[in-house]
Amino acid sequence: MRVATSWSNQLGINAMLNQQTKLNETQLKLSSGKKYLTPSENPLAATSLLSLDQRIKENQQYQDNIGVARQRLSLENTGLSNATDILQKIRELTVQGLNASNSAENRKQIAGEVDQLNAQLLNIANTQNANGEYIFSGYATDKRAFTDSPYAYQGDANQRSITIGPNRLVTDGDPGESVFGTVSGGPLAAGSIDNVFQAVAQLSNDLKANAPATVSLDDLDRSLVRIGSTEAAIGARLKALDGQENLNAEYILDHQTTVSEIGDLDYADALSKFNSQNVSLQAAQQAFTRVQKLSLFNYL
Amino acid sequence: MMNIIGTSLSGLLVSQRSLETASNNISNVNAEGYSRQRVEQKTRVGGSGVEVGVVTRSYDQFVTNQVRSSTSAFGEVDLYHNLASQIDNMLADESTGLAPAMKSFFNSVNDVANDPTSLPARQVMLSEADSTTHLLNTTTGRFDEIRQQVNSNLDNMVNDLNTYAANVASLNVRIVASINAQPGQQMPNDLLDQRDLLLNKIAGISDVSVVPQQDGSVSVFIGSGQPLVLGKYSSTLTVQNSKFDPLHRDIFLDNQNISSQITGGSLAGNLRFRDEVLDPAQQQLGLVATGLAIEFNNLHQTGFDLDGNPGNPTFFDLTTPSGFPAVQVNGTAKDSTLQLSANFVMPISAANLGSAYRFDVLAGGLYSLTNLDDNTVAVSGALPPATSAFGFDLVVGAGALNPGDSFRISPTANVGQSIHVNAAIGGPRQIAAAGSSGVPGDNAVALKLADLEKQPLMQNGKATINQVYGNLVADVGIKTHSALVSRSAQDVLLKQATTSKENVSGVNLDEEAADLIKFQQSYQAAAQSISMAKTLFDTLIGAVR
Repeated sequence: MRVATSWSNQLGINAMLNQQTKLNETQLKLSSGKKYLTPSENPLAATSLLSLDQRIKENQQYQDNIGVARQRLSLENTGLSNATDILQKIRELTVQGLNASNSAENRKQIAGEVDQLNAQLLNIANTQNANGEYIFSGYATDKRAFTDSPYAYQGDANQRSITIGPNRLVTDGDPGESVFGTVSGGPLAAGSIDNVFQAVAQLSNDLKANAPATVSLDDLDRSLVRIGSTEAAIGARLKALDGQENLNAEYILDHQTTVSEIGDLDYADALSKFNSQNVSLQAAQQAFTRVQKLSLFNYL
Repeated sequence: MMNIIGTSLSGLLVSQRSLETASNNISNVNAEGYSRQRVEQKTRVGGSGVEVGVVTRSYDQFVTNQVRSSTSAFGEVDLYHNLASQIDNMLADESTGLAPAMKSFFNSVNDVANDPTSLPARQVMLSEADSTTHLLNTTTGRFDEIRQQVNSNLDNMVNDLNTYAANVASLNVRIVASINAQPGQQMPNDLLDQRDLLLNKIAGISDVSVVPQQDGSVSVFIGSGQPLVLGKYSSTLTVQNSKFDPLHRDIFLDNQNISSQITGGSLAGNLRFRDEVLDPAQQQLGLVATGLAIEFNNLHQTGFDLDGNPGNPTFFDLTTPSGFPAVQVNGTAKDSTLQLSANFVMPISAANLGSAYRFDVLAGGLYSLTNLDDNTVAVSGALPPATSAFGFDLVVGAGALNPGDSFRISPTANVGQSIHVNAAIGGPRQIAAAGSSGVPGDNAVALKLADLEKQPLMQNGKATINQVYGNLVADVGIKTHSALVSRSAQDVLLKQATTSKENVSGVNLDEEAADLIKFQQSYQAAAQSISMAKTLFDTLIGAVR
């Protein structure tokens, strides 16, 4: 058996190059923290990672959406709880005005106060969000929900949906007429007025005419119930947002754990590999120089 | 006495010649393809010394053939792996991969659904759409660059092959002449080494079979028996553009397309990479772009923009200034005058689209169109073909289709290059997010658009747009991986074969050093004999005097 000098030389160099390539790869993995540098290293893992990453980002977007929905619903909630307070106040004034001991002058004063409160109520119905959208106008968010004198609803009956989870939508508001009652065009009679502004306006007129009707209280109570149940519905939606947010967060965490299991470098493993490859390269280099020194010509 | 001098002189000469050969071996220790030589010493009849028989080269036909076939096999997988890795790396990268860009785009659509009246959200969506299409453009552009690299590789390799073949033919001539000059004696070792080296280089480019002839020349065949060198004649290969697709090039010998017959060497690696990795990857990427455009556009036109106008039916535009992108057509036809091309037709739905089709002309005026993504017959019937539902219309310009003609057609191959956001979508207000006109807060269509990425709209309702891209990444990954595995295997085989060959033919310096000592000693000994003969002669003269 004989060995060709230049080929054994080449084999020695190849061995070193090989070790260098491996060391380089491990080094790249250590600095990037990735278990696989290219899809070809593990095509199955590469596609799993792509789709897992996709789903994580999808759920992160749901979380963003939930943030938007929560902010909108909270805005509506605040508006409605103010509206309830105002209506309570109007109801108190009405009870006071109904008292037979009141003079016509007193009732006019009360009516003035009621008018102020009605204007505040209308203001709440025309609340705008950060983008300048009227939140009680359905899809027609560029129009005020209710106009004054005469009262008219300018929005529509639609509710905007926001995706908060896979196949799960939540509405981010309520159309004005379902909260504040349908505006009636015909002759109004206290006790059977649906729309809260019209009801309060009628009440104020009656007070001014020194003839308040007891049934006006029924109008106010109906409105209070309607606003209250809308508030309850918003509460339920906010709760649903919290629930979905937790679900999404859990889903994201689960998937991130899987991603990390599939795609993250095991540092302990990689470092020990790095060390042993380092040793191998040094060994190859030393062996190479040692063998190079061996030659019969040294003794000629 | 004179006999002693003559005998010693012959030893002196043979030792000298052996020393020369040893020095020659030492000088050629690193010369590629050199076979170590040794002097065969022959005893002179009648005990009158020694003479140089022939100088032989250490050579083994079997291992030489083994090295040659291993070189072909390694050359093929090495280049294939090298080229496929380029695409593999491109698809994996966070910054150049399409998946993250597409995801950001759909996230921005989601933000528009959350805030349909917000102009900033709409602006972001437009820019994200822009960067997604740009990424598709650049990736396809990179594919085109790699195709140019493949084409110039083909040119260079065929040039080299032709040069090597011509050199082998002229070496054949010189070797035959040299053998004829001294029949049965000294072989032209250096010329033989040179020829073996050239044959090895040819083997690196294409698989090769070498048939030695009686007269010392060799005949060389490539592929499935196409003659490259016959004695003193060599053939010339050419690279020609496909008749149907100028970017697709094939190898021709005597006007015959032999691309499919070349099975080894870097030439085969080049061709196989193009047909198995590059073309399918580009076609699939085009399919992703086409699917996105069709389905997004279909939904977008059902909506209304911020000004209450109906949504533009073309949000993603596939046309270039000169119309729809070119359809890739390639194939074989009996009628050499046949001119077949195809025009892109915007499909109505992405559900049944394939990235590539095979169009077969059958007997009796029938045809069939096979979707190569799932190998199912997409449509069949009587000619002329009705293929517009699959994204193209075939046009027979001249000549006729004949039974047995077969073509590969990819309508989507160039879509990745041309897709862009329609310039008519002038600004963010033109995004049709609303389901009905004149209600800016309506997000009905934006919701559906955002949901598109989760809908299994492609491959017969089995895959989302992103999954089609995922399949592409997996496909390239698997092919690159298996190329790497066979590259490592072939590398080991080539090293083993080379080691066996070098063990026989390579120069070992220690051995040569030992030879130097040996022949130096025999030279000195022969010189001593001469000097001793002189002393004897002097003694004799002295005795007589």
